[in-house]
Amino acid sequence: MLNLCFYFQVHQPFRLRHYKVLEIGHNHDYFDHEANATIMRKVAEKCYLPMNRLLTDLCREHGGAFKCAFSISGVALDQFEAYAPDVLDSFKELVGTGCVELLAETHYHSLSFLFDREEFTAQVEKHRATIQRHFGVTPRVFRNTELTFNNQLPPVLAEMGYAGAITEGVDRILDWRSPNFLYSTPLAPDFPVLLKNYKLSDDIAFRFGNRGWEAYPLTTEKFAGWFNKAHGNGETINLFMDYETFGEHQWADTGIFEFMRHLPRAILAHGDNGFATPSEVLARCKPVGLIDVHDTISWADAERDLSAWLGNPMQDAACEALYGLRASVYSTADANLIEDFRKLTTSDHVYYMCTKYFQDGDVHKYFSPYESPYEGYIAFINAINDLAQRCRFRHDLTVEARERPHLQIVA
Amino acid sequence: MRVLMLGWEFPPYFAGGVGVACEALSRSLVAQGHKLTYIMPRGPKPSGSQNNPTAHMDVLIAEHFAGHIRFETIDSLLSPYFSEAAYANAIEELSETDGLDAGTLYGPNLLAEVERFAAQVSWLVRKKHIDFDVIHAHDWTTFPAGARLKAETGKPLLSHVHITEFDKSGGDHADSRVYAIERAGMHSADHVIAVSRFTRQRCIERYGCDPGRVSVVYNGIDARALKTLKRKKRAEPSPKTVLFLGRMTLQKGPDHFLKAAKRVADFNPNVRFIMAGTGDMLLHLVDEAARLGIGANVLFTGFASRQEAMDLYASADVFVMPSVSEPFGIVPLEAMAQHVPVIVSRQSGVSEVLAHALKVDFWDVEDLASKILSVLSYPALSTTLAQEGQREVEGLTWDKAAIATTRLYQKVARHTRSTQARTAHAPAAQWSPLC
Repeated sequence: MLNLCFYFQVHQPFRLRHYKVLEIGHNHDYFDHEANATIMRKVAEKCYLPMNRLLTDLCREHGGAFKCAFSISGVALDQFEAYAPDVLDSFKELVGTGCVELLAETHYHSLSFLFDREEFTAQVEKHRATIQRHFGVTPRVFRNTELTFNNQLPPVLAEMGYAGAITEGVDRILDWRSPNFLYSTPLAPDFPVLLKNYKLSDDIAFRFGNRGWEAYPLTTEKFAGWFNKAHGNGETINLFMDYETFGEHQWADTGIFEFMRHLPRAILAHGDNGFATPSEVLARCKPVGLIDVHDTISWADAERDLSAWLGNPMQDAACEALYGLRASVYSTADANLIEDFRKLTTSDHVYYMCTKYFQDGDVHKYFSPYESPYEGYIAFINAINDLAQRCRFRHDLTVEARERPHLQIVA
Repeated sequence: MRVLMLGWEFPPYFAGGVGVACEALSRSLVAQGHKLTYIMPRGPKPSGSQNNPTAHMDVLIAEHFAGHIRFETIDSLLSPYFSEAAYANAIEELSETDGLDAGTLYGPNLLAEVERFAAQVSWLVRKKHIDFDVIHAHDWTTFPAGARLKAETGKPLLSHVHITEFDKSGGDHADSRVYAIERAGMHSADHVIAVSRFTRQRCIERYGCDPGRVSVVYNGIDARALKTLKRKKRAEPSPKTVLFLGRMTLQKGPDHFLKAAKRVADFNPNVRFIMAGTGDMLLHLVDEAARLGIGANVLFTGFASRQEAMDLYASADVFVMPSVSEPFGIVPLEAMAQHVPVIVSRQSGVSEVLAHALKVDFWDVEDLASKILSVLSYPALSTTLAQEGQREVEGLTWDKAAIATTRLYQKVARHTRSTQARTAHAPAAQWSPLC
């Protein structure tokens, strides 16, 4: 039996507006509500709504033989509620088919695991509650932001009660081994990990519409042929990708929707193939070996490491300032302040500051709402400074209130 | 290829963007195997000046161009940035100091001088039997000379646009006579070289050039400017310093700089602003700084020599070029080469080639002030800008500009040959009589 395990990532950050130095202390609204609403509507029309419709139909048509998994970040869900309730409804309908598993992640799509375990646990907990509230289910399998992963993560997840995790099938970690099996890690040998088959995933996510690609055009028969080659050398082929692949990264006119509509039939044409969700894979397979992930891996770029989010002076300073502020933010017990802080932990903000591939004429390599990584840093660090000032102000008021009890604090 | 270049004097004798560009481009063209005859206008030695421009040029010739470039000069008061009034001033000044009527030696007004220069070039080329394959003229004052040579010899003409009348006037108050000469120069050219997409667009929209005959060749940065200075240890405690370096004219946006300085100083009174350069707005700007109450924060240092400019970069925490209309703008590249973070206006050609610079609209004083404060406040930002920026300018070489220029030489030469082959039986172009 060869399983095809689809997982789609759904995420939209709360983008910051061009928050200026001169606004610090005067304006505490950091987010670009208009852009966030516009982008959400655009992606809803091009991707979420048509693709949810298509998948819902597939789940019903195949009577349970087609399955897939989603990880939907909490900040994406929050924005569905605010800007696109119809999208939330269509996800509920899709999940209601019973063929879809929802995964766990940090509510704010953050890198908090690397910086602050307490914050990490709290954000995972918040996401669990949000998924429960909207969909009435509790995730069992965990995916960390951008598939970031290292040996330290599985013991923490096992402790939190998760059954398994997913990450990238990085060559340097696997060496000669295949990503098409379950593995586990040295500090949690009983905790299974699913690995992305990046070759076949990227054939759909990145290369599908590329006319210069030697395999262009990609048909379902061709893809099923590649898939079937893993028989005898694999138990599960994990195809992990951004959900925005469908209609947003690969436009409708590439034929990506038609491809997905017909893929299940092509895969199921082989009697020994089947679709499975991550939990089902965990039930059917056992880890075949250990992978040692000493340095953190991710699914980004050729490097598949943290270098898209951390490493240049701006990114490092931004994270240091952000997580350095956590204690004072929480000590205010001000819900608005805490929510602003947490929205700033979304990994996209530091991703926009990446200078790795940033050259003139190449700016679109990194999708960003900013003209340059510098603009991204300025907006972020200004917001952090304002946040710090609000914390100080609240603290001063609290001290003053203790000393002069007649002074009222408005929360 | 043999190139007849109608250019401008080199720095330091002539310190302007077009002079820098002519020198550096010529250097790279020669390195790529071209032979240049370089004809330029040369004014009288300024009285009391210690410089001997001729000696300077001779040194250059000996050092760098031996055998590959031949310099010819024509006595003229032309300068690429002259307005009619500035030319009249120069004539008057010369007449006063030297006690002669300069108007009889040189053209009585700027336009007449431009025509006289064209005739002199034509005469010189014939007298010295200068032979060449292509004519390359830089900016409007040499365009009539280029067009005349083309008519007389049938050789192809490239008109290189470094700046237009619209940039100089900082808006729509262009001198219609200058405009007419610029337009004629572009239209008589076989191909027009614009220093940026910004300028190319102007050539097409304002001057009616055929888009297929205007190409962008970006300026580069002189390899010598890339030699990083040993940054002087700054006197402690030294205030954060914001630098403006350029002519104090409407085009360069010094007034917007001053308005932003006011916003910055309101926020942080310990910031120092250096405004280096001279120009017709200087006195107004000094008054304005006082009126805004930031007279003590703003230092006007006057014209900066090359060495002085390097010293200024060494003392700057951020360099700002808020130009209203800048065809290219080489100065920010020099600052970046010296490890200084830069902020440039989006209304500049150089912003098209820079990724590692902050960009603002020149009129958005609030945004400019915010970005200045950001660079001064956040070390991670200034460090990354400085490091990545320095790396970036190293890639903006004049050799790239020379390669692009060579391609255009070949293109116009090929086209001219095929045209001449088709009309081979027609009589060759005749020399016009001496004037």
